Amino acid sequence: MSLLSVKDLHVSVAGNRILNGLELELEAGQVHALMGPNGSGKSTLALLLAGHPAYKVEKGSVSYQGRDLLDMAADERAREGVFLSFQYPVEIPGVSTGYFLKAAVNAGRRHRGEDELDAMDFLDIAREQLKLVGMDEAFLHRSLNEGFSGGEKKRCEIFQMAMLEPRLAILDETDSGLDVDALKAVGSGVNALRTPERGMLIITHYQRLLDYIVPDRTHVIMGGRIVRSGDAELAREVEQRGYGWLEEAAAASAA
Amino acid sequence: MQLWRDGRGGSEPAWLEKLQRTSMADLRVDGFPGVHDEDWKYTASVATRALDEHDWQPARMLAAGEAAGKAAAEAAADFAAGFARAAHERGADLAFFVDGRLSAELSSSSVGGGAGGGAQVIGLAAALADSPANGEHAALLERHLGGVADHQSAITQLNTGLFGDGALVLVPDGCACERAVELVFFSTGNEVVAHPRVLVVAGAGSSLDLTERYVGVEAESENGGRSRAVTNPVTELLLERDARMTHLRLQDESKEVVHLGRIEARVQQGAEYNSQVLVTGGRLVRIEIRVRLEGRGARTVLRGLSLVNGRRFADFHTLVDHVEPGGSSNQLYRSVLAGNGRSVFTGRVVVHEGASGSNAGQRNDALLLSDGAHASSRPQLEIYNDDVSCTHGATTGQLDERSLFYLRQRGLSVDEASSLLARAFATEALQGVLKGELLDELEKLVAGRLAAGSTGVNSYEVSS
Ligand SMILES: Nc1ncnc2c1ncn2[C@@H]1O[C@H](COP(=O)(O)OP(=O)(O)OP(=O)(O)O)[C@@H](O)[C@H]1O
Ligand SMILES: [Mg+2]
Repeated sequence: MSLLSVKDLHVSVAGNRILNGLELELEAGQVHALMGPNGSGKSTLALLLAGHPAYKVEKGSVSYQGRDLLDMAADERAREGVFLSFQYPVEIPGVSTGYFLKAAVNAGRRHRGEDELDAMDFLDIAREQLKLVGMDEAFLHRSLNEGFSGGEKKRCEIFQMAMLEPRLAILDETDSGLDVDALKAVGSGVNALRTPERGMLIITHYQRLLDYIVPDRTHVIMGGRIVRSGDAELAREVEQRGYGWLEEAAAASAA
Repeated sequence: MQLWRDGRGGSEPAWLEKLQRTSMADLRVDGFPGVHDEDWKYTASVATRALDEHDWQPARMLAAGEAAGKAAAEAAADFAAGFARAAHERGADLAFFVDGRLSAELSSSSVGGGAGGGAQVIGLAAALADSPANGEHAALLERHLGGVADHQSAITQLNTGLFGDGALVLVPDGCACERAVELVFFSTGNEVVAHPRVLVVAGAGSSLDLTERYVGVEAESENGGRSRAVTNPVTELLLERDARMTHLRLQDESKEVVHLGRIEARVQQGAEYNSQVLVTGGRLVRIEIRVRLEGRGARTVLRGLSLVNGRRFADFHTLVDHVEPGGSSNQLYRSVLAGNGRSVFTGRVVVHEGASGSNAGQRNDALLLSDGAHASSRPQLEIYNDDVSCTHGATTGQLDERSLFYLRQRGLSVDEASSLLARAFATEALQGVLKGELLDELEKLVAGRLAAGSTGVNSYEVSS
């Protein structure tokens, strides 16, 4: 059984059809890369999987750990282990990062029938994970994402991922706008979570993150469909040649 | 209408009789405001009905052993014990009032005594009765009582005409008062109308932290929609040259209380008045705040927050007068509304002709957590001088969908996420005036009232 199985998925937003018969199988223990031109529907897929209410499924199915994912509310999906590292993390003034994250971690623990972490335990674990992504403890006291630099926001997403230990992690351009050290930090954050029971979908435009996280499979999305799948080599090819050749190939196959 | 004056007994100074008589005459002539009065259109009907229900009758002293009064007196004692303990830990002077009357045994021993190097807190009834013997207080009261307040306000007229007790707080010149002054007004909800009056004279260069808490226990039985009590407090504050004051008014009475309150501050040259109001209780609460920046470089920071659920109603009414040059005022008032809660904000800023170089900012935001909630905002700026900087803004909105989704994506339920966002919104209106333990206390109070699935205020529950 796949961890995530997307079948013939058609999705619209604000009346526009964005995904057109998308197919994707992600096995536990695997890391897949998803590449595609701007506007091809990558974030749409990511947000749909996370349960964003603006995205409407017209047709198709998504199963996650054998359950109908589309039947679950966004927060239930999260507690069941679906994590999305947002392309554009939201700034939330007045909500402290530490307070929020402790609540989120404990919501997951309650859901799994585990004891909640108290402030001390939480802090111990948070310190460890902050180190992993190269963030200062002071971030815990700051308002969530408020005034964070672009790179800090992305590190913070990975820090949250590390704290929440998801089953299925979707990283939407977490590598964009990162300096070399941050890229390494994100890479090691992801690799630390690479275990046989987890799966990851890494959305990116560049090969450079994939130098740290070598994907098991690479998919190319265009016009809301996967037009080509391959191994890690495909990502390199896309970076060198762009998408034009795939477009032609896709048009040829559709004809 | 029938009016009862809350007699203090004994002989009274002539000026006081005249003041009270004039005030009642004004009220009789003007009449209590009705719904056609633009300033009262939302509050008038409930307010007058509540006052009528009680024949506008002021509080009577709770007779010990009186059947109805006994339970209430015990509740008051429990409450007072808690407050007294906390006040003691904070190192504050506590004056405790039951239905508007000072209770000597529930107050700190310092109340009514000497200044002891800090602010002096004296029961108003005592200060007035004392007056022949206590020339200093008598002269002060005659000069200032009713001298800060605006006699056009119906709330003030009602209070001035009928007050029986309250507090006189005297802060000596230059006193950096380490001990805060806490005035606690406990409402038994026992079918009473209370008109407490407070006068604070803060001497030149002094600094004081003042807290007024209006509290009560929730009535056990339903009362057929009748309001159990009306509280009508007026506080006059005079800040002399370079004085500084931090003032909290907390309104957390039972949800059957009608609260019509007013705060008036005169701020002299170089003085700074900082006010925080928090409304978490009451059925209908109207709080009027008027600050007169009447000296060069006088400053004020005003913050207000109301949490309004069920069928409750909260009305903030502010008026800031910039009279002299170089003054600054900064207002932020917010409300969080759920159920069929309603809030009104009317904020008037007047920059007078001579007040060049004034700086005035005003903001009002309302967060609607339900479809049945409603907020209105009426900012009014009157500027008669070109050399000023004035800003104002008002928003009414719901929880931000993007933030809500972000928090839910991390596993928080709709309820938890909404609560977290509502608290963040509310807490901002608690910043800028209070610090330390008092701020922590208010933040906790607000967090508790807005907590997810909180049973006490279940109408804060948010529909997804
Ligand atoms: N909420 C929305 N309302 C209207 N249009 C939307 C919305 N969300 C996405 N779209 C449209 O759907 C298309 C796909 O957008 P999406 O964000 O999925 O692209 P993407 O592949 O992630 O692109 P990028 O590489 O630029 O991040 C775009 O044309 C976009 O404008
Ligand atoms: Mg995108």
